[in-house]
Amino acid sequence: MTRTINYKNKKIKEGINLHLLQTSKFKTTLIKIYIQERLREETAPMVALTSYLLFRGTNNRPTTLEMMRYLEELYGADFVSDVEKRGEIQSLTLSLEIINKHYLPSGHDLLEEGLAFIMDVLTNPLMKDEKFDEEYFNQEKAILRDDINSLINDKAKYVNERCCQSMCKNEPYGIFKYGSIDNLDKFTNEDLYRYYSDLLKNNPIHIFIIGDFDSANEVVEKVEKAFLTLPARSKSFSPVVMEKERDLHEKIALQKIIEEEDIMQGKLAIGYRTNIKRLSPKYAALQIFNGLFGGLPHSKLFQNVREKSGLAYYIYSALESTKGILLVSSGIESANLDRVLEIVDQQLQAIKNGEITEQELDFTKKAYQRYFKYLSDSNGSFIDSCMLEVTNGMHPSLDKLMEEMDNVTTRDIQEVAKVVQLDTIYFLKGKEEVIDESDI
Amino acid sequence: MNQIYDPVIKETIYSKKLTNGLPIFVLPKKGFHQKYAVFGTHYGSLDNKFLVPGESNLTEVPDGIAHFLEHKMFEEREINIFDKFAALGANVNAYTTYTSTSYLFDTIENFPECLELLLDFVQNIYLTEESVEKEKGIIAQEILMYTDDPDWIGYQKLMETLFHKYPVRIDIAGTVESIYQINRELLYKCYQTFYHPSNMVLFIMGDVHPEWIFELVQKNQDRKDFILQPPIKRYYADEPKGVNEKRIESRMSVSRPIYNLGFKEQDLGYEGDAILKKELVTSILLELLVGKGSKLYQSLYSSGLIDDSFSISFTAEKDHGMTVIGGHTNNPERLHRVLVDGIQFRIGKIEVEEMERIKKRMIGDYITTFDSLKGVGQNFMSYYFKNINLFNELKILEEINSEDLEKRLVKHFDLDYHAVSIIYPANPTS
Repeated sequence: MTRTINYKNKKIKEGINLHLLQTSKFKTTLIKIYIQERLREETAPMVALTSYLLFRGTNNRPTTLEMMRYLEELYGADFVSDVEKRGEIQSLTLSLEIINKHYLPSGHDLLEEGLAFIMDVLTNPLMKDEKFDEEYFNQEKAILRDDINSLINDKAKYVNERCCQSMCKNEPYGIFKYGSIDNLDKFTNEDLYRYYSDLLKNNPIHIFIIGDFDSANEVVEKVEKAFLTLPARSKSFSPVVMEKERDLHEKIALQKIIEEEDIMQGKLAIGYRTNIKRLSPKYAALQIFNGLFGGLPHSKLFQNVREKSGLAYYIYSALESTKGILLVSSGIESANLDRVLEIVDQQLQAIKNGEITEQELDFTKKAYQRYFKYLSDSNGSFIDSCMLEVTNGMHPSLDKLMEEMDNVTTRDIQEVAKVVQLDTIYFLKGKEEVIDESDI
Repeated sequence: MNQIYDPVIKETIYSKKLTNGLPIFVLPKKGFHQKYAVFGTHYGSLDNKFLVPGESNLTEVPDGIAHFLEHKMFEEREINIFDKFAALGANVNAYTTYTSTSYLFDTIENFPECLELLLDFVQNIYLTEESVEKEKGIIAQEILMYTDDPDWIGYQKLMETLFHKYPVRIDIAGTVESIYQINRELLYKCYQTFYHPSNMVLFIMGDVHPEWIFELVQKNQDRKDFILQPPIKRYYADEPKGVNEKRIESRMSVSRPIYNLGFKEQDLGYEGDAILKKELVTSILLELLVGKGSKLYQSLYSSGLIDDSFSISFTAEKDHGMTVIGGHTNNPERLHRVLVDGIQFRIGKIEVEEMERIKKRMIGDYITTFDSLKGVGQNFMSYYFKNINLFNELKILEEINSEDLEKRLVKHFDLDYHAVSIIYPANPTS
């Protein structure tokens, strides 16, 4: 029994990589397949719509009802098809989680059936006359349209997304992971069929399998067999292709956008360019910087905006490691916008000036050591963290990064804070009435 | 020390009850880095009217006080609890539900120190007028955050239509008005009443030794004076059987309508295996009727009436319960008709084969839960205060037959006890 996770990489053929993660700590086996594509206006909704269509049916199981019932027969195998965005790469993802044979009453190994199912979905979607089933195409197109439009329903998410879009107006990163309505209307079913056939033939594929299997070689053989019909490919994508050029000494925000909505609480997003990415030697210090600034409960933002001033219930900063963008999010009373912006800026200045206590630094390092070790306690998070490394052309091991983070000094963090640039402030203003405590 | 082994998931749960009335449960998980402990009290947002042991007059407190108290428990005279856990390398958090309040931490290192800290900070209260006042601003922002969440509001409005008086119709955090009525004295009173060890439970999961934990907790509790407390008498509003209103419509800033259909529980009063069976029967039934593997779901989906946001849930508590079905739709009126007709159509038509298929799926879901420490912790808490044994699920599941499903279908999905909440866009687009 291996309670730790053993990593093994196997090139199935050029451009198709298998990442095997062998461990006995989970009761399930999780298979996840990524097909990578460059994030582009025209193709973003095509990748998204394909991910919706793959869920509908295959030539072997033409209806969604049959697919769902089959999965229920496999002890409720959890199947997801979606798109993910990492830097300027968009991925079509398929994942399937099945119960490990050691925990099934029959002791039956579901891996073979699971692999066959996911391959059927990937390579054999319901097609008629060189296009996707017409009914499915129309239904899913309508649903994708609704999904793109419904971003506004989750105001905090909407504001974060709009902030990124405004920041990266002329960079691929500004494209929404499901694409835009305009581009969704530009292609036909036939176009999509040709596009997907091409994607399947030419684009990089990463397959992750994490779970308890007796023999890694046996799994490799099964995957090799499953991918027999797909050709080798040579395309590869750089995770970031375009950056807006800015003078590093510019201090003010490039833009401040304020919109009004019928909401009770104003929603704020502040976008920064960190000018540091995954491969930068400053990356470990950037992680610690983020923790100190707003990534953790003891961070300067949480302590000063919430605990000391009582201005917000939530305020946090989050890092997109591949593109190097840092986003601060909060929900506040609209009248307090300027005060909150001032406190946020003061915190960044404080870090630049090296006003970091030993305690803050210690808490932050400990929190990240815990966070990174926990990744391997969850099969899904572990695959995600490996894929971040793989996307950036690295070996998926976090040991080195954890060591580097442990060695980060106050000076390193100051250096990071000095290159972090405020880019965009996006505020969705509420029409709320000011809460006057004396009235209550 | 008691122990129960589940041969399917191959896990053992160890338990012991201390002399001051505190029950402890330990589920060892080999190979996991994370160690997790949750200390919960059987006290939630519904407990607003009660008899303090030893007093003769009823106490009535403002809505949202259990949640307010949860926020204030993190304050101590000189130290900050978040800082103490952070110094030990641990993460600490808390949450309040309708029926319970839970405090939890997770860590890799310093587990014994963290566990003592958890017990000590929850079993000690420190409040100043000033800090109580400051918290009102933070909680007001928390309430407003939920007020802008259309899915949450859709659900909350449905509770208002289903229930006349029962406090489940009020948000767990209370209202901006109600929290401003909270003061230090009221918080103390609730704390003294509901945070007695006999009203609480401690659950631990991770790569730990049960005996050793029992010893540590016993020693910790021996240092504290708790006088045995008789059970707390709680009073809930007398809730009529019928629904408050059949339908509620509201407007918000959303891209398209949000529809929620509710069925109000009529079959109440159960605990233990009986309530677990009711939960499982209803869950199977809901999957059969409107789950992704049902014809009804697939036809609603194909006709564009629902999408992936469509969800089904069932809540079973001793004194209240409801089924909620709903999601985003372009045509709530038509969705309502097709859904209600589709459910009624199944009466008398349940097949053993489909039941067995759903059971298989539920076995898989049960096994999968045990890969997530936090998931098990949450299930444990919600089960424990209903006297449900976490490991009884598969046994009860096996006992369920199609007759149980038929009976429940007629009784629970009775149209006399349904209500609808619809949120329409405030500014209709195209």
